[in-house]
Amino acid sequence: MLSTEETHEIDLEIKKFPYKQSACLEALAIVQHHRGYVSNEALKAVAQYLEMSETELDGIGTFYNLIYRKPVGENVIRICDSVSCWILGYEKIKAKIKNELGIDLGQTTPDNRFTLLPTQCLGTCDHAPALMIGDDLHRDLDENNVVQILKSYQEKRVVKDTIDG
Amino acid sequence: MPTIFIDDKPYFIKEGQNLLHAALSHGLDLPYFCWHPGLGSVGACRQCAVQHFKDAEDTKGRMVMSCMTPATDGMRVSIEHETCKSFRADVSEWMMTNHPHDCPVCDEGGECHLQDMTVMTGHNYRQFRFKKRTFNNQKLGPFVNHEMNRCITCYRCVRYYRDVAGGTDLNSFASSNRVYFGRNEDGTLENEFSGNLVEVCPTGVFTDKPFKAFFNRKWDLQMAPSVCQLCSLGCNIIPGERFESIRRVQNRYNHEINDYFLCDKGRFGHSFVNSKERLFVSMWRQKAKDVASEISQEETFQSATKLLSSSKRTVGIGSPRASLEANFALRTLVGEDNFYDGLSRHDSVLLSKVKQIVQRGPALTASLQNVKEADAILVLGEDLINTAPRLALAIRQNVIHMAQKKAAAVGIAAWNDLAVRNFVREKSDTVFVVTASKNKLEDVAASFQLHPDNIACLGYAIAHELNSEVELPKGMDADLLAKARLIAAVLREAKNPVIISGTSLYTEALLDASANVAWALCRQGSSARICYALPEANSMGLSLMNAKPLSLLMEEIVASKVSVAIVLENDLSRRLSSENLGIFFKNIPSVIALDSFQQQTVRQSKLAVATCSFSEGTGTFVNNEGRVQRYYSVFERKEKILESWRILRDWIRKSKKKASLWKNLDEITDDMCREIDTLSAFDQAIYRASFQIDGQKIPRETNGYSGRTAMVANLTMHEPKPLVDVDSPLAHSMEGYEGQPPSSLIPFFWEPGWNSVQSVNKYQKEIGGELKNQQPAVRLFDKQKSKKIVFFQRPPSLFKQQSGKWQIFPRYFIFGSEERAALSLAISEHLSVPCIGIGHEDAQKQKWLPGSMVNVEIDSKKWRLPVVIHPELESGMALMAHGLAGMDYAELPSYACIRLSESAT
Repeated sequence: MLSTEETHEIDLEIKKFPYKQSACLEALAIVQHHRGYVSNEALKAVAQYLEMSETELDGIGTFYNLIYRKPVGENVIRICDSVSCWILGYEKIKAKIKNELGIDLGQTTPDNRFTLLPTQCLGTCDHAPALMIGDDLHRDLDENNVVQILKSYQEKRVVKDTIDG
Repeated sequence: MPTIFIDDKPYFIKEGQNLLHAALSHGLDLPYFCWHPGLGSVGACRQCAVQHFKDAEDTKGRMVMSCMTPATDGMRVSIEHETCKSFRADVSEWMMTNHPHDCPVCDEGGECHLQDMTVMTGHNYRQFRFKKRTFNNQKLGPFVNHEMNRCITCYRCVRYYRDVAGGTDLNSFASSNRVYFGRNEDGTLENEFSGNLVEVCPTGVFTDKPFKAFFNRKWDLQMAPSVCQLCSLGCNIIPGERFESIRRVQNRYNHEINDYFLCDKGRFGHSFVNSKERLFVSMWRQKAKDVASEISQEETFQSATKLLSSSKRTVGIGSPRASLEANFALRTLVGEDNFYDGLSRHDSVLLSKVKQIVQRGPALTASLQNVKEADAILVLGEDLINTAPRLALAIRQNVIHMAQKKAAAVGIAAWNDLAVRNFVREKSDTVFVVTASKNKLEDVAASFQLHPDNIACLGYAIAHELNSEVELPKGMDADLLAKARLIAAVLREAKNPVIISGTSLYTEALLDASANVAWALCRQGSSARICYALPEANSMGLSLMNAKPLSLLMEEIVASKVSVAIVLENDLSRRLSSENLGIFFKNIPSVIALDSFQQQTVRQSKLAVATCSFSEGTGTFVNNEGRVQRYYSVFERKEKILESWRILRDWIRKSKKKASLWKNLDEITDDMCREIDTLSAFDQAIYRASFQIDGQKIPRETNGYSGRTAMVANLTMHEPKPLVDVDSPLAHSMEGYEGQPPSSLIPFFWEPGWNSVQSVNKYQKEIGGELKNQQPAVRLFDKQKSKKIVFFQRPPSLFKQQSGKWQIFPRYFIFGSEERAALSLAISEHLSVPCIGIGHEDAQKQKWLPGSMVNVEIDSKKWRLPVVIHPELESGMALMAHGLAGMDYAELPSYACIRLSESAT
């Protein structure tokens, strides 16, 4: 089930800890990095690889918001709903995205390009409102530039792990 | 002794306690959720907050969580201080924000820790007006019902299930307001102790599923102190009855045995008394092939006494699951010469060996508490999870106990659960479990698998290491010898080690070897104890009766001209091969079988006499350690069925012309203890029927018991006269002594304000310790023993595989091998199926796959069974399911040919 690349990366993580189970969160992140999300099958494979129960691993996986246990689109939009963003127009931005993509929080577009999720503070209150798409941070949003930003992702296929677009 | 001041009053405390433990031990009402005496503290719920002052002048103080704060000498705290009091009410209020308002339809209602604590904190009015979070529930199998909306996220369930019981299929998921406790997908909870979730959960998330189907409030149940009937450990239970059916079984706290936890067989197995297989009316069969006809109690008496008076020789066949009193009455009726034990050949031999070992000493027997507190444990052969499940849990508790001791060495308090677990993460290095197949203790103990003879050899080698008087088995390889040396070295260092074995592998050498190890340790001056798992609840009791082995009767059956055999609560088809059973019935013209349910011997007998079950009759068992315990009838049927001993007594009265023999249980107990010397201590300890407190009996019903007249309103509008119990100090009534009775007479735990099972706190001297009115246990083999040790010699030879043949050993199953538990509705949904277990190597060689149908041929008899692969099993041996319904009795261990069945698919 796990690819040699995945097991190789997991092995590197295991080396950092006295118990291999301690690497479970990293292992899930690795699997998600390669597959977009952690499927039940992938969960089972990681649990077996780390010699722990599926239930225990799932307990850890579901605790973290950034481990996806359901399929997500190619680009995960995480829009900040904490206080600064909220004051500076989070609602409007959210409405615009909803309108533009036709999806609500927790949903994925039919073409599988975008998933919209809420997030807490991104640590960039001085440039609120803000959101992240994949690993890219977008700040000082308004109803116009957010459409532009979305468009840029619609046009080019963005490789997930590029930093700062 | 350290003193702390709670609300300016001084209290003596024990060193090393936390504040909550100390306060509860003094009977103070301090609310809590996440803490549990069996689980320790994690400080998750914030409910047990108290105010801590720096000195007598400080009036403001600071708030601390009492469960996470060590109680130290001179400490000043307050439970009543306004700040912590209102904080505790707030905690309740915030837990209630998501808790549904469904108490009236919740199974926990009326015995809910959450209800009790909410009332205790004074949170009376709800202000929360928003939507509550809701969850989907899971189907968790036949035992436990799931209702997640009621969860207050105390984490007790996973801490119990995972950390104490060793389960791997229950966990917490997600975070913050969405925390979910369950499995990662629907399915039966796999752990054998899942039922304890019902009592561990402080609210109605996990409830008793079979109870839910026939539900009554706690206060509407009639309850009595009872003892589990389903294995030899004698765990204490509280069955609850309504409308003449046993609705549920709860744990009855006994710190020396089961403390807070039961196994699922014990909790869910007793509803066999409600099964459709129950025998309520006696049956008569004129000729062997006739259809049996129902007869009245008077007709039963007439027929039986007629058979007995014209009998040339009457034999009695006792039972390891019948009470001491019933066995004694039968022995009295037929005479000692004609009294047989009703055991299979090997059970007879093994049981007398066990009795010999525990009587001879010098090692005393171990209670479950001794196991929990041992500093080293060696299990030789016994598959505890299937034959004595609670003992397996006690070993897990021991591993926790030892981890606490290790943590204490670096200053971590025993109750600081998370810290202890973080500090000690390795398996135990003082518990060794050697079995024939996997034993489900692998995750906590050093464990490996061997052929039973080789396990015995290992035992001899360990004993030899400890004392060279014990012979060393020949031909042991270096690896096994190294293991023996390692185990011996750990045992040698221990002060109070426990050696555990049992009878379920039918290997006498295992008993010898374990005795040798224990005795060799005793010789060194340690107080080593020995613990044997026995086949049935009163096996040890039966062994006191000096009964002859049933096999002896079978040898002389043709010549002996027996006219009548009385079979007491025993199914001989589980003791004799079908061939021998045929011989038994052919040679004995009149077989009288007494039992409370239909079984093969009952169906084949000329006269089948209905007797009452443990729920309707009082009796006494001796458990595996020699502890004598009485179980009390819970209720009486309107159509009264008598206990076996009363039925037999009536026959004795008639045949021996003793009209006034044994008017009540006290009289037969006196007689029995007079005749059986070893029981004399019991006679002095037992509470007689005349025992009263403040001139009152102890009520079996709570003072909220409702419907006394309504229940019979279809028959009469008058309240019936309460039944008189002539056998015990308990009353079938809600009236009587309202205080706390002596420990063996506690019918239920309840205190004002404490309606849940947690009310046991109020009955304990110290939380988690002995009960306030603890009676000293009656343990038969504790007498001073001779110092002289004669070791068993002649170890078995190491196992050598026979080509083309397998040596077959029995395999017991927690759900299925006990005939009565298998009749319980919940357990019948969880039964193991007949199978033959083969090692990985053999299966590969033979090209057998899991599920392949094979014929197992022992002598000329065949069993057609599916193959189960046990990778760890030694080549040349196999494990055959034992005692499951629909499987013929097999004389084991035996050599067998195993061939692929021709009609296999």
